[in-house]
Formats: sequence, C-alpha cells, structure tokens
Amino acid sequence: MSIPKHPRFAMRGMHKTFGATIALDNVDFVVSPGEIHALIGENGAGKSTLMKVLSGALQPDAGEMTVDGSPFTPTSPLQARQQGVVMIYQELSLAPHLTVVENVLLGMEITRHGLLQKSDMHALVQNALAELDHADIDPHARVSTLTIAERQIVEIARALSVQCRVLVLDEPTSSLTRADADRLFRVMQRLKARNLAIVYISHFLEEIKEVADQFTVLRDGKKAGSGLVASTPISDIVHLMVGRQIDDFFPRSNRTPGEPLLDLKNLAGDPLPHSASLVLHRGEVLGIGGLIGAGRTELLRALFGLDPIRKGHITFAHNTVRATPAQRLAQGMGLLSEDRKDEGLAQSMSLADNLTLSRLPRGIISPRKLRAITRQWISRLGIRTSGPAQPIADLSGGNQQKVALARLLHHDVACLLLDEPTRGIDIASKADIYHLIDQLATQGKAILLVSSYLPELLGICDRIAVMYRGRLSPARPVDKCSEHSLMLEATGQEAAL
Amino acid sequence: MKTYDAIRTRLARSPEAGAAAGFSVIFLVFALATPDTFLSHSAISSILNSQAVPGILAIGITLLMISGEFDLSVGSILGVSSLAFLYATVNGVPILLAAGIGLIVGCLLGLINGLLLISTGIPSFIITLGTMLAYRAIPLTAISGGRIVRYADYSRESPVLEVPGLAVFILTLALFFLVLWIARDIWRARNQSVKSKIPIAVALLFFSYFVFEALVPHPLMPVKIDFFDALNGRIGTGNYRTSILWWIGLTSVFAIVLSQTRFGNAVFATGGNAQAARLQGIHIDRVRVTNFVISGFLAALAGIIQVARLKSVDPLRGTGLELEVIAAVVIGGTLLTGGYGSLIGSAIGTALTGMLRTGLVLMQVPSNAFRGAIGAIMIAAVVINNFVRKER
Repeated sequence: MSIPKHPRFAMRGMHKTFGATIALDNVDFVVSPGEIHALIGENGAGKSTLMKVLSGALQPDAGEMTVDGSPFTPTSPLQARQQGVVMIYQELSLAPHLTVVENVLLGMEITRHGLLQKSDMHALVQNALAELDHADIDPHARVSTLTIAERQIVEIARALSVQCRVLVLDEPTSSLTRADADRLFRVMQRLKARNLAIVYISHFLEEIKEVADQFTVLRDGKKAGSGLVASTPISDIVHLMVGRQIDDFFPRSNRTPGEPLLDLKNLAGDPLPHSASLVLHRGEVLGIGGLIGAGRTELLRALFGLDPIRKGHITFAHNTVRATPAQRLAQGMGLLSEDRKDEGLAQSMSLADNLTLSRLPRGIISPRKLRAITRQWISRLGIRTSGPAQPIADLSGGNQQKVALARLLHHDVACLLLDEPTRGIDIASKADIYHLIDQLATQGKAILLVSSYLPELLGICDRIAVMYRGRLSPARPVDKCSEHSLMLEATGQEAAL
Repeated sequence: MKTYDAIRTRLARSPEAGAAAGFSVIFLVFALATPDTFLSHSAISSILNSQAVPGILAIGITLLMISGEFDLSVGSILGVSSLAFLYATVNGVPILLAAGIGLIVGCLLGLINGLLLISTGIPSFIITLGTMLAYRAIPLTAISGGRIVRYADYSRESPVLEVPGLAVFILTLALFFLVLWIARDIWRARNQSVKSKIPIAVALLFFSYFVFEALVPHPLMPVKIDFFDALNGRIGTGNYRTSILWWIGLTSVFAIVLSQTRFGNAVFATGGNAQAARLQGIHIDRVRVTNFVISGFLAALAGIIQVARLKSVDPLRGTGLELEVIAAVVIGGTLLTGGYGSLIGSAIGTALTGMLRTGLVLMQVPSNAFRGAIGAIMIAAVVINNFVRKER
C-alpha cells in the first residue's frame, strides 16, 4: 500500500476557549483516506467542540485544519459540506415529508428549462442506494415512513452526492438494533473501500473495537492518547478516557433477596407485551434484556399504569388492583423513563423544582426548604452542578440522569423501574449509577432494570430475563447467562442453546 | 383488509385526496337534497364566481404554510391594494399602470411581512396578526367616514386597454408554445405521475382558449380589451366569469412551480426541516421572503379582480377573508406545521367551502349557520387526514 502524500484530514494545534474554560487545548487529529477513526471521550471532554470546529459551526482561536493538504477554514456548516466534510448528527436532518430522492438531491436537483427531471433524479438516487447495499429503500418513499436505520443511509447517500471526503458519524448506532448496526458497519466498510475518511463517534467501546482502525481519546480538552484499535485493549482505552483506573466498574455487594414485592402473572399490554411473568424480590436487581421494540419499555409502562393492560395479574406490595401512575407512586413504585428529555425531566425548570416535583410538601412551599433538600441529594449522588437553581438543560446527560434518579429516591419508593438508565451518558456517571444501584439493592430496594447493553446487565443484575417479541423468558441467575446466550434469546434462537 | 390498507396508503400519499373525497360526499348530499336548484348553472356558477378571489389568496397561503409560515394579513393586503388600484384609476392613471401600482403595493406589504419575519425571528402568526391590524388602518384612515369609493362616481366608461394586435398575437403564441414545450418535456419523462400532468393540461387548455377564441379570428387587429371584463367579466353570455379562469390558471402555474421546480422543493424542505434545508445550501430566508411577496402579490391581484366586478372599494374590504382561506387550505390537506400540502387540495378546499355556503342556502338553512358548518368540516377534515396519514 502506498502512503498518501497528505492525510485526508488533519487538525493541528487546535485551541478553543469559552471565557475561562479551555474547551480544546492544542489538539492534533489526523485521519487518512480509507480509515475509520474513532473519536472517544466522555461528555465534556471536548468532543462536541472539536466536532463543531470541524463542521464550521465554531471558529477556533488557534490551530489549522487541512483537507487533502489544502487549508480548510469553514465559517459555516454549509461551507464545510461544500468542501467535502459532512456531519451526520444523532438527530437526523432530513425533511420528513419529502421523498428519499428529494432529500438526497435537495438543493442540487437536476433541472432542464427550470423544470425538475424526476426520472433522472430517481435513477441517480437508486444507483447511490444500490452502491450502499440498500437497494431495498424505495426512492419514492417519504422519509417519514422509513426506519431510523434507513434514514441514516439516506443521509449517507446525500453526503456522497456532495462529493464527501470526510464523513463524520455522531453516535450513529445509539438508536439502532444490533442487526441494523451490523448493516451500517458493512456500509462503513464499503465507504472505507472508496477511500473516504470516516470519523466515528461512539460511546460503545465494543463497537469501536469491531469497526474502527484508529482511535483518538480526548480528555478535559486535551488529546489523552491515540493509536491502533486492534492492538489496544478496551481497558486501556477506558483508562485514557477517565484518567484513572476504574477498579470495580460493576460493583456487586453481597445481597440477600428478601420477600417478593412485585409479582406478575401472564401480563399482557396493548399491543405489547404479549405475556410476561416474573417475581421481583426486595434487595434484588432483576435485568430485562432484549432488542429495541421487543416490548420491554411497554412492560414497564404497563406496570406503572401508563399503558393499558389487556390481561394478566399484577401484585405489587399486596395491591392486586390495577392502578394509575399516581397510585403506583403512592404504593412505592417509581419509573425512570428511557426518554429523559421528553418524559423524564422538565428541561427548563431548575434542578430543585425537578427533584421535588413528585413529592412537594402540602400547603405553602418554602423554596428555601426545597433547596436544602436538593443540596442533600446533590452531595449524596455527586451531581455536578452550580447549585439547586441551575436549569436541568444546562446539566450533562449523566448528571441529568442522576437528578431523575434522585427524584425517585426522594420519593422514597421501594421498587424502581429503570429503563435504559445509562444510555448516552459518560463513563464516570455510568460507574456512579452502577454503584448507586448496588447500594440501593443492598438497602433492600427492588430494582427492575431494562437495558440493551449486555455487559451492564451481566455486570450488575442478580437475575436476567429476556424479552423476545413481547414474550418474557423465565429469569435465570446471572451466573447462568453469558453475552452469547442473552443475544441468542433476544433474537429468538434460544433453541440453539 | 388489504384493499382498505392500500386505499389508506394511497390517500396518505396525496394530500388532496381527503379534500376530494369530502368534496364528492358533500356534493352528492346537496345534489340529492336539492337536485333541481343545486345542479343548475346558476348555482354552480355562483359557487365558482364567489370562490375565485379566496381561491387565488389560497395559493399564496398554501405556499407559505408549506414552508412553515402563516399569513393572517392577506385580507388587509387585499383591501389596501384594491384601494391603491382604484384610487390610481379614478385619478387618471392609465389602467395597466394603475393595476401595476396595486400589485406593487401588494408585493411591498408582503415584503414587509417577510423582512419582519427574518429580521426579528418572531413567529409569522404574530407578525402577520400585527400587520393585519396595521395594514387595515390604511383604508380605514384613507377613506374618511367609512364611505365607499365607487368607480361610477368618476367615470361612466369602463377602462379600455388598447393593445397592438401583433403584440398580443406574438405574446400569446409565445406563451402557448412555451407551455407546449414544457408539456412535451413532462410527457416524455418516465416515472411522472398523472397528477403532475394535470396542471400542464389545464394550462394548455387555458392558452388554447385564448389563441383560438380571441386571436385567430382577427390576428392583427388592434385588440380593445375591456379591462374589467378581462379580469372578472362574463364568459360569453353565461353566468360564469373570467375570474374563474384566473383562479384555475394561477393555481396551475403555481402547482407546476411547486411540484416541478427547484424552488418548489426548497419550499417543502424549508417547512419540513429548516435546519436540514439550510445545511443543504438552501437560502431558507430567501424562500420565506419570496413566499410572502408571492402571497402579497396574489392578494393584490385577487383584490384587483374583485374590484373589476364590484367596481368599488370600502374600508373593510377583505376583512375576515384570511380565516376562511386558511380553513379552506387546511381542508385541502396542507399541514399547519409545514412541509406537506398541495395547491390542488387548496383549490378543492376553496370550492368546497363555497359549495357549502351555496348549498346550505339552497337547503334553506339560515345563512349564518354556514360558519358553523365550515368549522365542523375543517376539524373533521384534519381528524380524517391525521388518521389516514398515521404511520404512513
């Protein structure tokens, strides 16, 4: 293999400050053509600032960038795009009511006498999709009818149609099923073969191990390290990310399950789940694995009284009658929603208001008292914040999640339903939350944990059940489970066990 | 079950399908209830004549709503430009120039809306609510004492436009061939839906009418056009008026612009996901301002067309029209949230509201009940559209 004269993309001595905060401190970042380069770092490490500089949304204070050796100084995302650097964000940026063709060729439609040449456009897009191994996407379909995975492919097709040279994927797999993620990885390999440079941002280190060639770790605005993915163990990457060794990432104290608290018999929701039975004891962490869409979230929602129940029985703390969410809270059950932004926390309200929302004292509310209560929780959970009055939206994802948990704890519930409690949050916060869950279980709380992250299920649960197409398998002790067995069950192949 | 799903999918893909279905049902109801009066030329012509002006306004509103904006000020713009046009005419300004003044006033008022929008970033609902009130003040203060300005008070003769025959001939023929040329392109292209061919066919018919009715008999004679008749006079000796042709013609032209040009795609993209459109190099502010100018222009044109028939302007001209037009556009399947809609749907929606008004009168329902019916139909239309469009 010949060594190219210039790297496809290079960033040298990048420096950016916001007031007194140094967001980027002398960062170098180089990507060669045909390389998948993972950019890793905790939230707040400078990753998003670097991306904004790269995409032209922010201008650096010092440092230079080149694309194929020529200077690259974009002043807007549009300019960056025109020079071949295309970002694909987590929140996809497609026009939902336009068709695939119209989205891919938006702003560069083929016209004759000012009129669109729809058949030529159709053919062009069809070819582009076929090249990405996604000929099954109908170019005439409206984007709103496509799955998230398909929309990503449409975005990639659009990037290629503007002669993209550097493709930046920001957490592309965070909302994909495993199968779709695998398909995306195959597309990335194809793009790699076309000599594109791909910057891949992800929190999933296992995926990085699988798909990336090189990695760069950012920490506190500095480059903490970089190297070949193949020759670096995951534990070393984690070490670079957090700057310290996390000894017991998944703590598990000696727990003794107590009396049963929650008992389900053939619970069926509308439309999901079809059938779920389980017994959850005090002082126990019961994990529920499975694919997205299998009905896990729906199970928790039905338990909490948010979704209708078709048939089956729930016994919770000696209550057998179906209940509303308010009654469930009163009975001592709390739900942590997977959708922190829309269902979990009121983003514009302060930390104190959010934390005490579900358990306000009767009568006149004393803000001073609320702040005092909030401060207690801030210190107990190690929430990084400027104080109880800070709006939730200003906190990092991990700290927001801690506030959501603190609210349940403040309510003093006996049973916690946790839906993807660590999705999209940084590693240090993850470790904190694992410790907290362990501590709660030791105190005798019953915890039902839904997670798509297998190491997490295996790491902190006592027993694990798997949901497959609305049916919940019997829970098995964690020492009888492995990533392999859980994945087989989640994809409906347990017969192969 | 499969056919049901197929129909639902089909309906969901064309925004105007719901309006067309509703139109057919209501048409049938009236036709069965009062067959003698409803299915007469006088009833149908009165529906179409009365809806031409709102129909032309609906074009601008639809473009704006697809791009995610809103215009409450069209009624006021119509009032102001009608007045500008009539004042200019009665003060001796040549009729074409007077019409030009009216149109420019409309464009300017639309431009103000657009510039306010992009410079302040306030929702267009608020901005045009403000300009609706502000623009209304112009005729209210200009026409003192709430009287009516009548053309007949100044002149007995209708304004006549004398055009050299050759000019008309060349111009019309040129337009005719332009449409023919475009039509050929569209016809030849594969994968074109029938829907996109309809406006072209209508445009062809429209120009053929001019070429063969008006020009071929006297190719080179200077043509004397009664300006008012050309805009809103009787077609032949019947009850149908030329304003209907303007409505159909303008709808066709803008339907082509919306579905067959880059600008049209940009309008949809701006309303569907403005951020994405900007990333793709679309000047979303330019699209928005252009749409406001188009909306103002069409409001002025509709106003002039209305003056051509009523031959007068009163200070409250156009009041309340904006809400009726918005209701018609919503019935036509255009989403208030932007990114989705159709001009054909808006035309059907406008026709439907007119039909409702006339039909209810013919069924001896008190005329004031009409508003209730429009409201109910609009809400029903949105509910049905949402149901049909769900997850499709």
